[in-house]
Amino acid sequence: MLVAVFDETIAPQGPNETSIPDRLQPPSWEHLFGTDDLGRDIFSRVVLGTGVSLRVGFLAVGIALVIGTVVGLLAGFYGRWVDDVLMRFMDMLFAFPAVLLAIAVLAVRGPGSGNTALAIGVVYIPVFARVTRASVLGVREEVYVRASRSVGASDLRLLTRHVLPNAAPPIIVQTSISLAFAVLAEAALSFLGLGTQPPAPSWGRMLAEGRGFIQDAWWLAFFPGMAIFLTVLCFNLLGDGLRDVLDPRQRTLMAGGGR
Amino acid sequence: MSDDVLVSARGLEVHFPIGGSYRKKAAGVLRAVDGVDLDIRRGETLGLVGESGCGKSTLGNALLRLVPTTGGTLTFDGADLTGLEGRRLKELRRRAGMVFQDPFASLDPRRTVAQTVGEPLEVHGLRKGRDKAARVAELLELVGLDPGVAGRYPHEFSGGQRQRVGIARALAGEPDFLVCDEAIASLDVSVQAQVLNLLRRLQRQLGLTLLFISHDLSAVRHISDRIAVMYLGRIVEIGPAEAVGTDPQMPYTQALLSAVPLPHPALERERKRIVLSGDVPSPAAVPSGCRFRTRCPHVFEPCDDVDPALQPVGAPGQQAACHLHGIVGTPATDAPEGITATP
Ligand SMILES: Nc1ncnc2c1ncn2[C@@H]1O[C@H](COP(=O)(O)OP(=O)(O)OP(=O)(O)O)[C@@H](O)[C@H]1O
Ligand SMILES: [Mg+2]
Repeated sequence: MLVAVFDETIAPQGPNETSIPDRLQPPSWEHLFGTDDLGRDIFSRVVLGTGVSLRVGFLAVGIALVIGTVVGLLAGFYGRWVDDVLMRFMDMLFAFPAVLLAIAVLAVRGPGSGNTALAIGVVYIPVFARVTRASVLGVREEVYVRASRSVGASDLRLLTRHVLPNAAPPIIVQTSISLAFAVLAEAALSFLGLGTQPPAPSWGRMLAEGRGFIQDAWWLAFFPGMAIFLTVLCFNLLGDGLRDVLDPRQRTLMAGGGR
Repeated sequence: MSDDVLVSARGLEVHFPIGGSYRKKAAGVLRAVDGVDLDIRRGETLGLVGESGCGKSTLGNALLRLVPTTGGTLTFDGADLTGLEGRRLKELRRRAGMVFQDPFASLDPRRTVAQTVGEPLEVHGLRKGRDKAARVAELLELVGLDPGVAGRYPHEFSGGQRQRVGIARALAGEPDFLVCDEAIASLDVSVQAQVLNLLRRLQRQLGLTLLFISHDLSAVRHISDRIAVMYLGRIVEIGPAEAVGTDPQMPYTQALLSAVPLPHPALERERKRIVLSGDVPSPAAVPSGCRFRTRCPHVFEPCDDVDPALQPVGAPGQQAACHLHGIVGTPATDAPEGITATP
């Protein structure tokens, strides 16, 4: 995160500054992560790629989270035909292989990071819909939901104040997992040449470009790979932490050591 | 209907489909509430007793329109409740509240006491901002809690305290009618009496009409003005608490009562238990005629095919549905309602 915010300041040189004499340099003090086949500084590109990868990841998961959660909430809460119609539609979406679906979206809308985010987002909508629905099915039967209805709360209020907050933990966990996967998916699509377009730095593209040199210049693929790995790990830890912070029971334990 | 009746049910039915869904036709019906006639008078506490599964909760929920009724009529303060929608249903929700059995399940774990108790105020637009906080504090005090706990979460409280929060929420909209469904059943014995007394005090102080559902007959006798006894979805005896509690007219009530231990050791030794034979029939296959006949020690000829109606017996105001007091009711042959085909 921090890296993404300070990218311009940290990066020692422009992402596309080429320097042919310096090409394929191994990691050194001058080029921390080495240089690629065009003599570009890998450290700079990894740092600047953070912003691209994260933006696409967040946007994609944001799309999937909002639409998927609303669909799952409605399907789980109302059940019956609402559930049938919505979830059949989600199943259809889910039945497509993810990459195929993303490729289809990109084929229609053309490549570019905004469309990549949309494509990945569409793929993840059914995942969020399912997770949310399953969680809602448990929560909607809770006595406190009935209690709230008994004092006159509207469906909208029940959904937003009681059902969603209590159904949220698995959704939060899913969000962190999906963020990780979205970053991977962006990398994969860029790897296939469908995502972020060159020369913009993207971890996936760098991985793809580095693949050809893996024998002679491991750093080309290694550092972008590490960046993806660390990001995925961070999102997972973040998800766990967030879930605990949002639970009032945990919060009291942490704050007061139990009253 | 007279003016002093707040809630009135006639032939009220709540039947649940068995094994069906909204697309598939149900394989049968479960008669959770099956022809209940009941008048609850303004300002009284009516105790509702009966074995587990006889439909007490379903009846309580039906009176508040929390489960859909499938037959009969229902009025609240003279207004028809069946088919009530939108704003008028919301107004009923303000005027009639519910206290739930399990205080660990009935409070949203993610909402503070202030949010929970204040919810009816928000929903009905009764108080805002500082006024709301003040009203919440007032309500907490009313149920014997320190107003300082408003910012806390349910898990920080004991069962008894949580139940007080639940009661405060039910009272927030200044209701006329409160259904307490086993409101003390899941509390520690030492706490039960406190909450029972709280409910009694609130009932008097606020002039509430109370439906107190319980299978604990002694608690019901302690708090109720009248007692109604339910069996397999029907009210089989009703009357002043004193009369029903000491001189029951329906064999089922007699059996229920004989199962209550007596406080005095000498009396306890004298106590004769009437043990009913057999199990409660399933509400999916209600016996024809009198629904209690399969377990009744006094069963005789008409019980098979005449469904007994409530008739005045014993003390003034007492009614029982039993042929021992004269055969009154609908014969099975020409009243389809009385018949249940047993497959
Ligand atoms: N939503 C429902 N769908 C189907 N059947 C139901 C439903 N609610 C209750 N029942 C059935 O209706 C019957 C009456 O249930 P109810 O909960 O009203 O009994 P009760 O007298 O409150 O019992 P308890 O003392 O155990 O609380 C039971 O057989 C129950 O299984
Ligand atoms: Mg019950």
